[in-house]
Amino acid sequence: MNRNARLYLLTVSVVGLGIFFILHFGDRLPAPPSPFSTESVARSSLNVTAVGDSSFFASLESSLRQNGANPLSRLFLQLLIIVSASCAVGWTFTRFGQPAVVGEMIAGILLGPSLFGLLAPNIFQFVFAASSLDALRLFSQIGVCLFMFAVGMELDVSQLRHKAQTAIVVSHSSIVIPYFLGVALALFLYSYLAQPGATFSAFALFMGISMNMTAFPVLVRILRDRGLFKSPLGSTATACAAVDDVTAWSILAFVVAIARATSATSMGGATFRLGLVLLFVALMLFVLKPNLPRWLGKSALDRPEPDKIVLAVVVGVVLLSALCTELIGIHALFGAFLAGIIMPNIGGFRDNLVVRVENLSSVLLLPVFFAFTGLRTQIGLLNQAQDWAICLVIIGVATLGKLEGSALAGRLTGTKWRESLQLGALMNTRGLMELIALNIGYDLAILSQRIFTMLVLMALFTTVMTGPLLTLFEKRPRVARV
Amino acid sequence: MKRTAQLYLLIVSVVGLGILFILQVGSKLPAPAPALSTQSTAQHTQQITYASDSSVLGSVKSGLWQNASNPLSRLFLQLMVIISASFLIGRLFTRCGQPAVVGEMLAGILLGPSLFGLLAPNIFQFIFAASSLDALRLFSQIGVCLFMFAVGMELDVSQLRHKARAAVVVGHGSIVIPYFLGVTLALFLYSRLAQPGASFIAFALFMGISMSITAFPVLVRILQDRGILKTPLGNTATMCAAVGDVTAWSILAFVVAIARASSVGGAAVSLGLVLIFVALMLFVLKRNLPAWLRPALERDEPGKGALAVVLGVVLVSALSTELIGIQALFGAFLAGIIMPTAGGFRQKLVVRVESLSSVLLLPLFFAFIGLRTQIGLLNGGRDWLICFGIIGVATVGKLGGTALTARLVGMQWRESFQLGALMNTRGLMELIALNIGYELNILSLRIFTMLVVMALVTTVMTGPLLTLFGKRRLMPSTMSEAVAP
Repeated sequence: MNRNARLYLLTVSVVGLGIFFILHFGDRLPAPPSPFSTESVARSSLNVTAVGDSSFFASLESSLRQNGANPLSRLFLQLLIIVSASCAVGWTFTRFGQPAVVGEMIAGILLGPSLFGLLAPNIFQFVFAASSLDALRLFSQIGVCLFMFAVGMELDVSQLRHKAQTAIVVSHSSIVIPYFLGVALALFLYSYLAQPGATFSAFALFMGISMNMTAFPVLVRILRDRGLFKSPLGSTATACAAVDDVTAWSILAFVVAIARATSATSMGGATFRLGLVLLFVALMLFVLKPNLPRWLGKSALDRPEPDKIVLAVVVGVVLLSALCTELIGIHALFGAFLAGIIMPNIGGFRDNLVVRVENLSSVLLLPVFFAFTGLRTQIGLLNQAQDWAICLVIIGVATLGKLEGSALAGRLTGTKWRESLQLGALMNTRGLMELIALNIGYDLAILSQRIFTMLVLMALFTTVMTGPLLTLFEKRPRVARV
Repeated sequence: MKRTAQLYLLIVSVVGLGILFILQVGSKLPAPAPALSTQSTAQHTQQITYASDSSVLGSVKSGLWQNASNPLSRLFLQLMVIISASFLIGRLFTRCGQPAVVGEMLAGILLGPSLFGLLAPNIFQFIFAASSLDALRLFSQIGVCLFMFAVGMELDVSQLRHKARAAVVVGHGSIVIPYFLGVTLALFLYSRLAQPGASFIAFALFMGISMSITAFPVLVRILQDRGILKTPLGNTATMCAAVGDVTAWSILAFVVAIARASSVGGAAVSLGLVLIFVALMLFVLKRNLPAWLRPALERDEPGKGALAVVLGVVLVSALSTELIGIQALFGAFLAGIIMPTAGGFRQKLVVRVESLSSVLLLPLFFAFIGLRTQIGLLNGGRDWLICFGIIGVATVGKLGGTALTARLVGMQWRESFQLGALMNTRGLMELIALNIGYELNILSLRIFTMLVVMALVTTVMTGPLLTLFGKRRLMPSTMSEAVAP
């Protein structure tokens, strides 16, 4: 051991001295010649960063500031703030018996111009500098795509077939009724609140969609928290919400195809686009879905740990599918959702994937999406009593349509009033799915910022409402016919 | 059932008709007033994208084109191309008995201007458009950070303490000897190949580092593939590589701090900050982290709260190192090292963090390196000669240095050489270090390319060398013959 230590010291010191000697000697070497190619031009922007500053601390501060402003550390700063805010607010909300996602959504809004930008505009400008928003946006979109992929995997379509009919009737009427109310509401709001340039049909179709979103993942989480997941109500609600989800996203894809085409002025474009969508969906469901298990290999599906190759194939399928839908002109998240639906469901393969995909995306990337939505939400825009009145009306119509629509359909198919109302309350959870849909509407220049803000508030409210309403309906054995 | 179906048809048709009717009525409404606030300018850019095209097919085509060039689909397209290329070439290389990472590195280079850009410049320009490179760069950096976090978690420092000494001697011997050779090599290459503006010291220190890096994860994978991870050789190699890794990254952090500072005082301050930061992480955070994460450590499934805390630690740590002026990946690496090991917690984290980042984000990094590597720059016979010289020096230094120290510590020649061959695996760690050198304006594009080629060749070499040394019982005692390229 002693010999080893001596050996070590000897080697390190001899070689160290040699290195010092060479460094010293090399200082006298001629410097490399000035640039001869274009590469220095491309890099000159990096070179100018070192500013000659006299005082020691000033130079330290300026270099810190510089390092803080490069894209990577800006992004890390944003991520840090977003993750900690959403974690803290989410935790507070779970204390009050609300699902954490409500707190995360609120954290996003608070980080936007509605609170953070109002209280500390300078820090806000530094953290969410305009130049950094492109990267943040890309990041949040990828997060949403991964999230939708995970949602798609959680929906087990084959399981639905057993009790499909009730679920389909309830969920489709819980879609069409609020959809109708939303379209009717659009009649009154169009001239006042649509984004200039948006056509009425696009605006109305979008208002309809925003009234009938149901957040499947939030609903499942609420059911789990209350221990209702395995009860008859729970399984009906899950089945309804699953059908609802698939239908609503199909309608949304359809609406997006129409809305984008009408701005391009040709009706032919819209039909062509819809044709492409149908073709794509058919390819995914009837070609890719049966063949995927074979491509992945039986052995890979049975193994508890999917290896990298399998993961690469899966990621490739998700990317390809998302890219196709984005190219067709509906949003990439539809493709990701569809890719989730067609994943093989053998031997816990989906569970293995969900663990790997969902955790990172829901902790790191989804809060980014909430924050990005929050950056767009400006509660300050609702500065008149009239605006708030409209906002309240929207909330009322949304709740009435969704809750009553599903309760009514539930009653007509033979469920008890109490359970029907509970079902309605559950289906009224809009959560983050609504936010995803709203962002699409905003990006397509259909929703103005004001109506966007109102609808975000509506999404928040209806999600918060779910828990208390559920408790209320549970308590009273008999509820009057409202 | 019949009744339900009737009900369904009734509701859907009535409401559907109602919706159609309202749409008809509403289309006669006055259009919304033009913008009154600033928001229209924000959305304006998205509205002007629609070129009015007469024919349906023409408009569809232009629509497709437009959709393909928005940032998200561009990124997806790049990801698709990169992942499928690295998958295919990685598959090809595993067939030949090479680790897949070699193929992935090569795929990155082939996708760059060296091959893809040469064969199909138009498609290349479309896929890797200059405007999209910023995003690609950001994502690849995040991928590298997550990867380094996972690497840090795979190193179990507490396990090292038991039989550390021999490993430390060999690990450090395998660093200082190639480091010395690298610095010496810099004497001859500085005037010709350093980036204009780089000082000799920075260049020489960087050449030294690039000679002495070992890719811990690649080494572990090679050992696993050959089933010798649990043998004495595998154990020693893993520990030496772990020591080598920690040391090399510390040296690199030190070099970066020196190279970035404009003055000696600045360098001293950055180094001081680095030391304070490392001390804080190792002595404050490491102790307290298990207490903060206690409920999650005992459970089977770490909850979202625990994951958020972990990610928070990674982010704070990466941000701190980036602010100090060394790269964010050092912070991520350190965060990995201090993660608690209790109850398989690290294993669960690795599953959740590493698999996605290594499949989705790390290929981006390889492609990003490949975009910078221009093999076409090595156009003279002399450049290739220098490149061979570098490969030779790197191999002699690393392999010879390791084998010599291992022999002196008391191992057999055969095992010493096998150890040397293993430590010569540079893999993607070398690429990460090279990329830092390039971004700090120390390495010129030509030497960058040469060093990338060196990293590839030394990684490819490992498998065959290992087999060679494994077969022969006795090696001649002079190593220069054994390792001549």
